[in-house]
Amino acid sequence: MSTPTVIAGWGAVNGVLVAILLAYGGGVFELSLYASVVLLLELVAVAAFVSNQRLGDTPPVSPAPSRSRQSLLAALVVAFVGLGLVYRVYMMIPAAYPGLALLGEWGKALWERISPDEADDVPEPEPAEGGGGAAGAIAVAGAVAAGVATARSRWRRRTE
Amino acid sequence: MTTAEVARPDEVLPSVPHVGGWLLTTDHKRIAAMTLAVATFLFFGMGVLALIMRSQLAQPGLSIVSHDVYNQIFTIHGSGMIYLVITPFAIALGVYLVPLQIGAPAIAAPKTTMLGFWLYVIGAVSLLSGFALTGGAGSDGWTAYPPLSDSQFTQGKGMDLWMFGVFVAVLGMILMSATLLWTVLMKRMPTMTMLRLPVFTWSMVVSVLMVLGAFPSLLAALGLLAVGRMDPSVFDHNIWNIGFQHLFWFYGHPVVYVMFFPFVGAVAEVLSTFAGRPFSGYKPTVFSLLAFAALSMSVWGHHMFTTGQATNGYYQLTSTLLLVPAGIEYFGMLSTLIGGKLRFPVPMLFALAFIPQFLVGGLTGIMVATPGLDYHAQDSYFVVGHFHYTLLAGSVFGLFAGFYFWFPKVTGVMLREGLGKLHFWLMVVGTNVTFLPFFALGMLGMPRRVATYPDLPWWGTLNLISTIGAGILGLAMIAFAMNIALSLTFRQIAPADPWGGHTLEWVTSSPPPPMNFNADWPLPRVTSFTPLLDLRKRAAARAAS
Repeated sequence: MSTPTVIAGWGAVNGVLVAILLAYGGGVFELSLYASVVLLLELVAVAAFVSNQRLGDTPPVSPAPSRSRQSLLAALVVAFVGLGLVYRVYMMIPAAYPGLALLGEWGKALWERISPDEADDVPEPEPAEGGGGAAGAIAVAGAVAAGVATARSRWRRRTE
Repeated sequence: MTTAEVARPDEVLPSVPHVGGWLLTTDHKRIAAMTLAVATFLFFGMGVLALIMRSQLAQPGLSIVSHDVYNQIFTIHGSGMIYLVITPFAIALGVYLVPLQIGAPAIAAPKTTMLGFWLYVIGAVSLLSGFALTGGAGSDGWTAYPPLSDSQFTQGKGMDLWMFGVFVAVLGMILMSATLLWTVLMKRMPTMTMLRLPVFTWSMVVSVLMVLGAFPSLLAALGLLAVGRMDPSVFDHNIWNIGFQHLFWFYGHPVVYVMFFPFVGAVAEVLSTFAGRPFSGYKPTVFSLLAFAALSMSVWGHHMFTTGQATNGYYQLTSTLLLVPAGIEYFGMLSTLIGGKLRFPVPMLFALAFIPQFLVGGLTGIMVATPGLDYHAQDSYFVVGHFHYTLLAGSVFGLFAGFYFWFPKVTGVMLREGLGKLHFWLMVVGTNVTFLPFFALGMLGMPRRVATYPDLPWWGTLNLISTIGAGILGLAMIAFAMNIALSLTFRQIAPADPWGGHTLEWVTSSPPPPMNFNADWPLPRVTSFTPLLDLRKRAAARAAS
C-alpha cells in the first residue's frame, strides 16, 4: 500500500457514497458538490502518483534552508490585501512593499536553482539593511503618500 | 517520572535562540510549537468568553452583558474554538510529530507550512479585532447563516473582519495539511511502509485527507457570503441560502472529525504506551479510520434535516453507519488495555476519561442523526450538550492527553504530576457538571443562542448547576496554566524517553535536534508500527540469551 493508493482508494470510497446519494435521489447541488470533491481527491492522488514515480519512494534529502523570509512576506501581502477588502481599496497599497520583496526573493531562489555555481558567489544579503531597506522605505513612503492622497480626495468629495 | 532531575533553568537547556530564528524558521518543530502556543493562548481567551456566557445564564433575567454583546461573545467563542483553537492544535500536533514518527529530517515544503502559520495568526487577529470596533465583532454564530449575516441584517465591519479572519485561518490550515500529506508521501524513512505508520500518523493522514476534501468548501461558502454582503439581494433566492448551508456543512461536519481523529490517535499512543503493549487491532483500526473519514464526508446533510431540502434518508443512513468504524476503534482502545501492565500518569488519566465521555457525545450524535428526534432537538440545548461532549469532553480530553504526553518531548521539561492530576480531576468534575444539564435543558425546550430565558420550572436550577460547573472548569484551567508556568520556570529536565514510548520521536533527544535525528540520536531499524517496543524486545531477548 502506497500513499497515492490510499488517497485514490479513499476518493473511490467517497465516489461510492456519491453513487448511493444519487440512488437516494440527492439534489443537483448536493451531488455536484460531493462529486467535485471526489474528482479533486483523485487529482491529488494522480499528483501524488506522478511525484512518486518521478522521485521514487525515498527521494534524496535536500537540505532545507533554516530561515526564509518568503512566508512572512507573503503573509504580509495577504494582510494588507485583506485590510483593503474589508475597509478601503487604497489600504492594499502598502502590500506593494512586501510584494516586491517577495518577488525579489523568488527571483533570487530561481537564479540559485538555475545556476547554483554563480549563486554561491553572491553574498547573502542581511535582512532589513542596506539597499533593500532603503528601497523598502521609498516604497512604503510612496504607498503611504498615495494612500493619503486618495483618502484626501475621497474626503473632499464627501464633504463637498 | 523515572530519570528526570531538577536543574536550574540556565544549566542544561539550550538558550532561547534569536527571535528571528523563530519568526523566519523553516523547522517544522518550531512552526508547530508556535502554532500550539498561539492555540493554547487563545484557548484560555475562549474559556473566558465561555465563563461570561455562563455567568449571564446563571439565572433567568440576568443582564451582565447586553444581548448584542452576548451574540458577539457566543459567536467568537464558537468560531474561536473551532477555527482558531482545536483545529489548529490538531494539525500543529501533526506538523510537530509526523516527521518525527516517520523518521523524516524535515517536513515537505517548510516555507508553505510557515505561510500556513502566518495566515492562521493573521486570521486570529482579524477575527478577534472586531471587539475593538464600535459595532463590535461578528455576531451571527460560527455558522454565519445568510440572510442574517448579509449586510442588510448585520451591519458594520466586525462581520467582514470575521469572514476575512476565518478565510485566511482556514486557508492556513489547508496549506499545513497539504504539506503534511506530502511529508508522509515523500519523506518516510526507507523501511517505514504505510502499514508501519504509527496510529497517530495514520490519524493525521485521514485528517488531512478530510481537510483537503472538505475545507475548500468553506472558502467557497465565505466567497458566496462576501458576494451577498456586497449585494444582499443574492440571498433573496432560496438556492443560495440553501447552497450556502450545503457548502458550509460540507466543511462543518468533517471539521468535527478533523478536531477528533488526531486526538483519537493521541489517545491510542497514550493507551498503548501506558499499557506497555502495541495498540490492539492495528490494521482494523487503520481501515476503520479511513472508512470513518469517508463516511464523515457524506453526512453533512444531517445538519439540515429541518430545512426539508436535504436527502434525509441518505444522511440518516450514513450517519448511523458511523457507529461501525467508531465501534471498531473503541474495541481497539479497550482491548489494548486488557492484559496490559497499566500505569496511570496524567496523560493516561486524560486518555481513560476520553473513552466514556466521548461515547456520550457519540451516542447523542446518533440520536440527533435520526430525523424524527432531530426535529424535536433542533436548535435546543440538547444539541449544545451533544457537541460539547464531543469536542470538550472528547477531543479536548484527548488534546490534554497528548499535551501532557508530548510536552516533555517538545520543551525538554516535565510537567508537574500533582498539578496535572488536580487539573484532570477538576476537568472531569467541571465538564460533566457543566454539560450534563444541557441535555435536560434541551429536552425541556430551552433554545440555544439566547442571552436570557424565562423563569420556567427547572430552567434556573439546571442553568445554575451548569454555571457552577463552568466555574470548576475555570479553576481547572488555572491549575493547567500554573502547571505550565511552574514547569517552565523551575525545570525538571526530561529525558529522551520519559514514558517508555513506542514510536520514533522517543528515540531522539528532548527537544529533538534541528534535523530530528543525527549520529548521536540515530534511527533504529523499523519492522513494525512500534519500533521502540521491538527494539526493547530484541534487547531483552539478547540479554536473556
